[in-house]
Amino acid sequence: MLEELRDQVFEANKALQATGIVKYTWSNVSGFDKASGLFVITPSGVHSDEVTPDKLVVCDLKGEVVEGTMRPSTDTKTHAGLYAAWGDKIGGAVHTHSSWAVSWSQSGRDIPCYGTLHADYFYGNIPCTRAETETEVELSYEETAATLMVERLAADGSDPISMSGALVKYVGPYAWGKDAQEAVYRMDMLEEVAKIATLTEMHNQGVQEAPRYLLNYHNYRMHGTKGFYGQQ
Amino acid sequence: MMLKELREKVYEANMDLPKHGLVVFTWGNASELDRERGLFVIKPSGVDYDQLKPEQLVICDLDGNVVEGDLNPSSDTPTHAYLYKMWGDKIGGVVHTHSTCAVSWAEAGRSIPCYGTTQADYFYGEVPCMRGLTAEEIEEAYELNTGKVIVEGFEGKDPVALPGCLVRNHGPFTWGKDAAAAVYHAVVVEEVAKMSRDAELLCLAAGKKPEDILAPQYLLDKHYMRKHGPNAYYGQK
Repeated sequence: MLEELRDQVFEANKALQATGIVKYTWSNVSGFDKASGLFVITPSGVHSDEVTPDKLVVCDLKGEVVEGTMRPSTDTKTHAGLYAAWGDKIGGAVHTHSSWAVSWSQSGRDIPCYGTLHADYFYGNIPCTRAETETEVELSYEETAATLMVERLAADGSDPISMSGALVKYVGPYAWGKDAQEAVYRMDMLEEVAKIATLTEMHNQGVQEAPRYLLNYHNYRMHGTKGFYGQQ
Repeated sequence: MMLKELREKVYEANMDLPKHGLVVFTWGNASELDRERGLFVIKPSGVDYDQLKPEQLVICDLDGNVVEGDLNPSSDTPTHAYLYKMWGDKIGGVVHTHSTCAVSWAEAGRSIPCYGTTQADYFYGEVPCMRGLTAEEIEEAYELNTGKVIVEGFEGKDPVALPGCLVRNHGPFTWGKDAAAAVYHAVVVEEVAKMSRDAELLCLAAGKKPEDILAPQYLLDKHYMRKHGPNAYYGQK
């Protein structure tokens, strides 16, 4: 089932590996089918060279396997949680352990918006969730990761379209988009933005966030109703 | 020629080191043990990776004596030999590199604290930095004593749950069930060395203490167990 979506997720996973931000099997990619409420995700621990569309796993919004002979990614329930909350707004999600973003996750800090590259894709600071409690880790580790991202965006007054990624404390980045391919693109951006922000702080220890009016302008020209970036 | 299959495996593992960006020039070596025969295959000393051929690899015994091979084995051979001698029932491959980020922790004389799950997936705690060798130890038998210092530093630690370490002022040594696993763990150590460095810088820049960002023990337990415990659910059955 979902042959077309399988192909999309397969291609997105290949594109993710081509970015060079993934070591070994330290990533997972999924794509969501709004009509059926099911999503397709990469299998756990399988090297991308060995992933084929038929090895991808179809899951429901509880993270249970609906079709597939392989085990889905260990983080499947996190993806399920994101689609359960935001399935009307996003159609693809990605998780990696890309090193620059991970170090922000480990420091427990939001990535401050220091410039326009960041503002073009992430409208505001990229949030880092709180740590899970011992009970949460024990009872619902992967589900809670999604809950924490969803709650944090809501608390910030952000929506998953203008803020297309978040950091899970101690773990690493998640990114999402209208489909799996866009989620991969956003993840690549997030890693780049994380790198630039780290280096920015090294160059200027007292650096301030970019002014809000600059963010507004950049985000608007890219995504606003009269946006003029790109081709018509 | 002995151990033809093992030569191929060790050759591939050595070639993976520059491919993963862990080694420049000839600054690395990988080996693998043949448990039944009590012999291991290791890279020859100072041979460029682009010149290396499987038949140039050297076979040694657990005292580091050459059993087969025309070239000198890696100068770190006695370290590999000692690790196999002491831990040969638990490990089957050893790798040494001078990968930049890991070396800088070794030079700082610091263990890499566990700040997150990337590390916890493979290391059940910090990547430990060993004590420095004394002048006498260096003079007497530097490479053998490097192995001894590692084994000494692992007293009360399990080399399976902590598949690598930093040798002070020197660099990372990693191991695993075979040479390929040891290479994998060398990649892990370099990645977490980079991540932990930046996590500390970001933490200090925000006026926090590095102790405050250590991953809690229950999270280490969860990540290590979901990958390696009896009820592990990472990977395929």
